[in-house]
Amino acid sequence: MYKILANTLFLGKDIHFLTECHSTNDVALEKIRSKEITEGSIVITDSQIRGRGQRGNRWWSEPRKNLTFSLVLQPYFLDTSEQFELNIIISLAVSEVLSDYLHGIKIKWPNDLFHEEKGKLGGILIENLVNQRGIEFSIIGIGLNINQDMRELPKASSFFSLTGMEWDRWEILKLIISKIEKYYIKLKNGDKSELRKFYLERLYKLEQWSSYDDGEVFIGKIKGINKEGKLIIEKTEGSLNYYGHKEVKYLF
Amino acid sequence: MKAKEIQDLIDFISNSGLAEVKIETDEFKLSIKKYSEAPTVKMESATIAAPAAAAPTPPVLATPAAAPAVKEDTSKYIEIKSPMIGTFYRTPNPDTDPFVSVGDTVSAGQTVCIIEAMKLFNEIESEVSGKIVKVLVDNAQPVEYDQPLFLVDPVG
Repeated sequence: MYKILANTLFLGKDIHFLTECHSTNDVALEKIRSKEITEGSIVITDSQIRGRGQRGNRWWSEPRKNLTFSLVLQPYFLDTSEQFELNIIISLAVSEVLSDYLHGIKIKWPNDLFHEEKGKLGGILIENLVNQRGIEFSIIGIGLNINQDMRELPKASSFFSLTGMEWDRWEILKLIISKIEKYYIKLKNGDKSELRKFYLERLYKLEQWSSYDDGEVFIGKIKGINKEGKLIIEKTEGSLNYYGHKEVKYLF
Repeated sequence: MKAKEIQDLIDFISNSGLAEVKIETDEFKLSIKKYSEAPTVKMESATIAAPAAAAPTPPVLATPAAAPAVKEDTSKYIEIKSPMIGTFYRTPNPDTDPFVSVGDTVSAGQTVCIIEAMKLFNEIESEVSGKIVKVLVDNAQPVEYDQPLFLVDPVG
């Protein structure tokens, strides 16, 4: 089994390892409900059978090759309208760790881990439990392609595909956990503007002219995000347009 | 409008000789039609929930069995409201059954829907226990903060 992973304060002190499971987010949710786990706990698996992207998108992962885990937070200090901050700290933390190993790592809005040329390296799926008082629990699901050979795939990649060598998954996990904890504490301390600045510095296609589709194909330039996390794109005639998730498509 | 006022109004109309009365304000719409036997009260709540309509006094000729039928009375129901702006989903996944449907019993703490915003998925828990009487929003529709999503009958 895996011992305490990282030199963290609370994150990853309680690890639930499953050789196989359908989705670590689903297992985490069940374990929260049965009060088996709480803030800081991690559910990790070597083989995720029914990994989920958002609403039905499948996330396929070869056994024992990748990192698939979920961690549990209790961001009671965030208003439901501020939850995009979770997307910011998690994608920022993971992308910074990836950048220690690889060149060309960006965050593709809102929270994809993306290589500038080779495409998607991983995804984040955040599910919150919300009641009238606010966010009770946040389940942060993270999937990263590490040692799976994905050179055949056109829009996705892995550590192995980019570097030609195998990597220690637990080492990467340790670094991710401690960085997430660091930024989570920063967020709790109210340091939002600096975190947003770091996030924007890593945002894919920021301030670059590129083509997009919002129902019509257009040329635009990403200017940033607003408070609730909407993507701001400037069109060639100068207008600023705000997009929610799935309201605009990158054409590249 | 209070139940007592509705009752008084029905009494008044019953004794007035009028066959049909319709009253409409910003808050409610009341339509009373008198048949030969008994008046029928039909009340549709608009922005506020209609109060419980007390059994109106039937006109002199009415038999006890012909009590007026109350079409819809939402005052005893509790609304589950959206705690945030986003897109409302009734199912955990596109190919699965809804979390809850009309007629289902829910308990406090049970997930009733998902609201998605910027790829963050929020499982919304019911604060109340009871029976789902009405689903007020269609699947995959945008919802506003505080918008009513479900009507729950706490009596069940």
